[in-house]
Amino acid sequence: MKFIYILSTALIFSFGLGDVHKPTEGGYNSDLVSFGKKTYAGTSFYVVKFKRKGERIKVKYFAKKLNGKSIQERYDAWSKNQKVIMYSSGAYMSESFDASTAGIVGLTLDNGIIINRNVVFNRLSALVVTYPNGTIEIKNINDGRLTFDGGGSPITYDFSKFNDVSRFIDWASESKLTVFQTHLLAHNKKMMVHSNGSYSQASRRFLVSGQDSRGSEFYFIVHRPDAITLYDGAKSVFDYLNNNRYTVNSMINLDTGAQDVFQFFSVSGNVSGVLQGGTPISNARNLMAFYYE
Amino acid sequence: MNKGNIIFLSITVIIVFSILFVLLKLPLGNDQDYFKNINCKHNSNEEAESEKKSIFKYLDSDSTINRVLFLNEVFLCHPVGYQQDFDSLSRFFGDEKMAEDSLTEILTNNLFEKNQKDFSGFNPNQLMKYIVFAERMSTQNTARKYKYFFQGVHSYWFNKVSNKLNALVHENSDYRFNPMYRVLVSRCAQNNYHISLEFTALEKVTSYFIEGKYSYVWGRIWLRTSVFQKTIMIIGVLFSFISYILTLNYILRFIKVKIKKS
Repeated sequence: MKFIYILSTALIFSFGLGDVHKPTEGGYNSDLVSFGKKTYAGTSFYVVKFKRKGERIKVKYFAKKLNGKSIQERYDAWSKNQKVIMYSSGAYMSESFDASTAGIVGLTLDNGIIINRNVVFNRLSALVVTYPNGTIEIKNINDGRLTFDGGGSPITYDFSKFNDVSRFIDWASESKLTVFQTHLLAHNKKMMVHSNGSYSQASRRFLVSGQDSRGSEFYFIVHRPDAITLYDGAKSVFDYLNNNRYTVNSMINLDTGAQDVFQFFSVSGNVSGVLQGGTPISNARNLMAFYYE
Repeated sequence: MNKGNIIFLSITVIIVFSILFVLLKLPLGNDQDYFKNINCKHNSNEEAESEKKSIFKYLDSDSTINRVLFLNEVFLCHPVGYQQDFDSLSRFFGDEKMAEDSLTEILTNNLFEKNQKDFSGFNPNQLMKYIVFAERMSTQNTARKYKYFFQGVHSYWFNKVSNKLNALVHENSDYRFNPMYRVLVSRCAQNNYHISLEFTALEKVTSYFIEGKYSYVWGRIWLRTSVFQKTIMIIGVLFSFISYILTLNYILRFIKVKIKKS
């Protein structure tokens, strides 16, 4: 009988052992990164704020398992000599008949490799582009003519014409860009989701690009561990930032479903016990990492 | 057998039948068998005929294209023909970009407007027709200046078909088990257009258990349930656990008695 009790206790405790996050090198400039728990209109959420001054905060995105290497293996190899500040799951993952393509929703390129050419226009209007130099741009794909200038010289493509979409894909591939699509929750100071949307409740995580009243630019990662609808979560963050005199340029949703991967690291590189997601990095089907350079 | 044991057994039977239900819904036949029914290739006569088709004959004297005639025969025209037409068009308009945009507009938006009914409901044969049309566009060994015309038309139709397949499965997840639907999905995937499939809650939970994502399932249950539901759930789990222990205890005692008797 004792054996059964020991076995069941061991099984129950083993559920939590997957959430082991390795510490990182640390050493980023703490003046550019701040974090804390904020309360607004009766709700609480965690906010990580990155100052974009000097463009020292950079973004790396892993869109898919590639060349037989899982997202975790790719991240581990890349992060060895990086001052990683945090990482989070990014685009939505989907189910698929074929495990090798599961997790891909919308136009996706990984470091120039074309993963999915399917462009989703209405549902996922955020087109997120990360450049090899660590710059990130968020565009509304329904705007039609989009200008990309993160790589240096600006270049424009008309997404209402598919011959131009093909030109964009070729350019992104040649420039070794990483591209994905997700929900655009707010854009150009306006909310883009409506209260009559999905009623599904879950924990939420958002990436916001914004600026303060003096024009200084910031990235925010907002983490809401409580269950809430997408609209309510986004609206509360939008209102909180406006109330604190920040202008929201764009806000996108980061997946917190079965790959609720999130980890913040202190300046010394230690893992934060509070700012972390519910599943380990081994569950990640894609990953967005913020690092200091 | 006490009540707890009966409940425990009932729950086990329900879980086993649920898993069987999900597994039995998966098609066991070869998808290629269904694919044979889809006539997606032009026969040799049509191929020969298509070589003769040229958009040039649809050009009216006022430099406009007779779109109605052209769109009626578009699936008979071979892309090689389009390339010749493109040269003719360039000469006609005197502007390559204008020619590219005009021909792209005809073969994408105009064609879609004309044949919109093909995209209402689920018409696998019609959808396959557009896939074949798009594939033929991408296989052209074209000079660089024509590349984006062919790629644009290819991309437009694959997006139309894959977005239609996405919409269908979001409306009714049972399409995943339709062999014709699966053929179309795999054909899109071969061309790098991936469909995101919608799984039911039960299938997701089963899948997460198979993948060993217990903490995620537990986290979702904990976040989405009220205090009352959590209390009922904990009582239920405890009740099942105690029943399980009691059953094992009963079996062990039964074995012991048997051993002693022997």
